[in-house]
Amino acid sequence: MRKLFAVALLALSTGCAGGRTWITAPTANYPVSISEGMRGPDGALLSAREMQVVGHFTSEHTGWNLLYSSIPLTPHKNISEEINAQIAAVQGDGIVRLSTSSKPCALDYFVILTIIPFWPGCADVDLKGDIIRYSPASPPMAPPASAQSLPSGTAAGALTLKN
Amino acid sequence: MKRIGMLLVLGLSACHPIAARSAAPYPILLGPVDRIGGKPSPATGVADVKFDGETQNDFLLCVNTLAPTVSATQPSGDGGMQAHSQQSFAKLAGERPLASYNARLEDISAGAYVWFLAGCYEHKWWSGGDGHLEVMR
Repeated sequence: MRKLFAVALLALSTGCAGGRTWITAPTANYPVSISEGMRGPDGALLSAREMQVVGHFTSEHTGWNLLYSSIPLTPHKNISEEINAQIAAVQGDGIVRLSTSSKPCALDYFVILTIIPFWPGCADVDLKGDIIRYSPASPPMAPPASAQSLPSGTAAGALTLKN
Repeated sequence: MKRIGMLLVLGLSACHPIAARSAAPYPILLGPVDRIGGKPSPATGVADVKFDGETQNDFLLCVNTLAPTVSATQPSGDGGMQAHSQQSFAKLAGERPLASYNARLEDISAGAYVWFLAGCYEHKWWSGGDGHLEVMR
């Protein structure tokens, strides 16, 4: 009897559910990078010092699928508007370190029900990143004109004190 | 009892979502803008060096035998996209300054699924992306 129960339980514990989605940002008005790297207005790579973190970007979505996760119901998710709004809100210039995480959602764990082909499967997808503001490194201080024409061996400090 | 506890701990740790993050110094872009203050413009794709990459986690538990088996993979979270884009950069090395290229993603895919069958349970979750290198405008 116990064996029969175990076999029945195993037979019923069958199913598959899940989801996936493709994140896009075709109309983002700001640069978005999944790495630490970002280019400045002149195209040069920025140093960490030139990127001031002014906020955090977050976005949460659920990807839905049917028929044992083979038919996507939400194939694409455009996050452009979220990017534009969240960056504008903190007067940022772009996003770096955009990371993606995913996990099965609660519906995927309804063991017996997931054997039904039209039981919806899903996946929770979270996006996080740092919103940065470009703060150009200050150019090196140009020496005063008087110091440029100093005769060799003259102490610039002494000259300043005299003035 | 101890064994069940161990399985539970492993199962719960596997529920932690993966986060694919890249520490590459160059930008791996998503979207049409390639620099601070830049204007949206279509990807050029001139370099035509494609890359893809995926980071995935997997948790498998089978209790259909007397000795339950468990396996779990926990990748570092650096993301396969970085590694693949670096390989693409390596292909171009020597042809022209690599600083003049951008890595650009077409999209980021992310998902997860769970299945149960004959006493086995697996859940897998991943994120990844397809992209290409392009010459900077």
